Amino acid sequence: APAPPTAKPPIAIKVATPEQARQAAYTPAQEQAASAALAARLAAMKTLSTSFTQTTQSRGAPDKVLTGTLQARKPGQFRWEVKQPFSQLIVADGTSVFIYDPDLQQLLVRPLGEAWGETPALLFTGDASQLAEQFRVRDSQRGAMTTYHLTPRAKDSLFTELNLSFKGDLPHAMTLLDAGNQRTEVAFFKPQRNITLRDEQFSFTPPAGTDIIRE
Amino acid sequence: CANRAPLVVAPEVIEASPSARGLTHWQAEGKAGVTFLNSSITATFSWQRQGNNFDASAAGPLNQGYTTLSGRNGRLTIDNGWIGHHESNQPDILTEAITGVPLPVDLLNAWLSGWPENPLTTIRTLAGEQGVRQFTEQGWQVRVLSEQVQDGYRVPLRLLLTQGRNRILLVIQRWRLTAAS
Repeated sequence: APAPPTAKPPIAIKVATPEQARQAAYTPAQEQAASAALAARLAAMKTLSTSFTQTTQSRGAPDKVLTGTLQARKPGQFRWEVKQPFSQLIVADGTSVFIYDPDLQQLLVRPLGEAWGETPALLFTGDASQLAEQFRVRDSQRGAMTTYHLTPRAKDSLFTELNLSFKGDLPHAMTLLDAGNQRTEVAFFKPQRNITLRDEQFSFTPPAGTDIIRE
Repeated sequence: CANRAPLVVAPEVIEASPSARGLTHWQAEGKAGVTFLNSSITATFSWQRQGNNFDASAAGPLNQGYTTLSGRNGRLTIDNGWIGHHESNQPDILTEAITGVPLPVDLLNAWLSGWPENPLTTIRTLAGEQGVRQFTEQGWQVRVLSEQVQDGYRVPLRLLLTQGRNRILLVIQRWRLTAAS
């Protein structure tokens, strides 16, 4: 996959706008419509292949920037590979999630839960009809950019808000906010939708000598 | 890869390099594989020693579960978006209460440099595949599996901490001296 440009990813400025005021007065019907619109977009995306830059802003600490690639294919398969400044690989084959760390020489294998709250990549491969069960959804429009604001219904979710932006039909960015106000922004570069992806992308065999921990 | 400090692993160079034991101001960054209560996580971590104090952070993929720890004169403070803000003068009791793992984080200033905190602790030298050295403090067995040279000092590359069924594997990817403030 082409190396992403080194330009600093777009960073949204948090300023209360009329748009956010409108968000606060969202009716159940509007939420249902936003959820259905997002579900339709996700359902129409059988596969996704993209590079990404992940930028994490934490209080009092310099931004942490990672780069990598994501391939996703319904149902329940994805490959999330961090390449810089370190390596880490997360592969879901539809049944299990394989979290492989070459530096630790360790592989964690756990069942692929339904909880999208733990594995946001599942948004692109999960059953879109379950979206409303797991999230309250609101949407906002800014020019060609549609952003869906997802609030997990589960109280023990690892993040308090997930924003997913689309430019036309293609995912543009995903932002996660946790209860400690840590903000992680994933910007997608040159995303490709509904292209054929090879089966080998979604299976993983660890090198000899790897510590395998099954849960 | 480009951002990772050059790894010097030639045995003779490691042997000839000064040990990091007793150094009081440095910073380490790396990976952690933690297994506890039948659950496992991998995380990236950073640890900065300042005399007897420290500042540390850890997070999982997508920065999930981002947690900061700071030690000031024996008092531990933990902040995490999910479990909130906690403080205690008994670090291992606090870490056990929060994670179920009684990790004496105040000893990590010494362990992360590859040596025991107490100078009287017995150290067993290992050989070959077994590793470099091993010691036990506060019920935790600490084994230095391999070493490297970074910033001119001999520091651990892979470190295994075990206590009962609790297991923490640490890989230090970047280590550097920092100025005493």
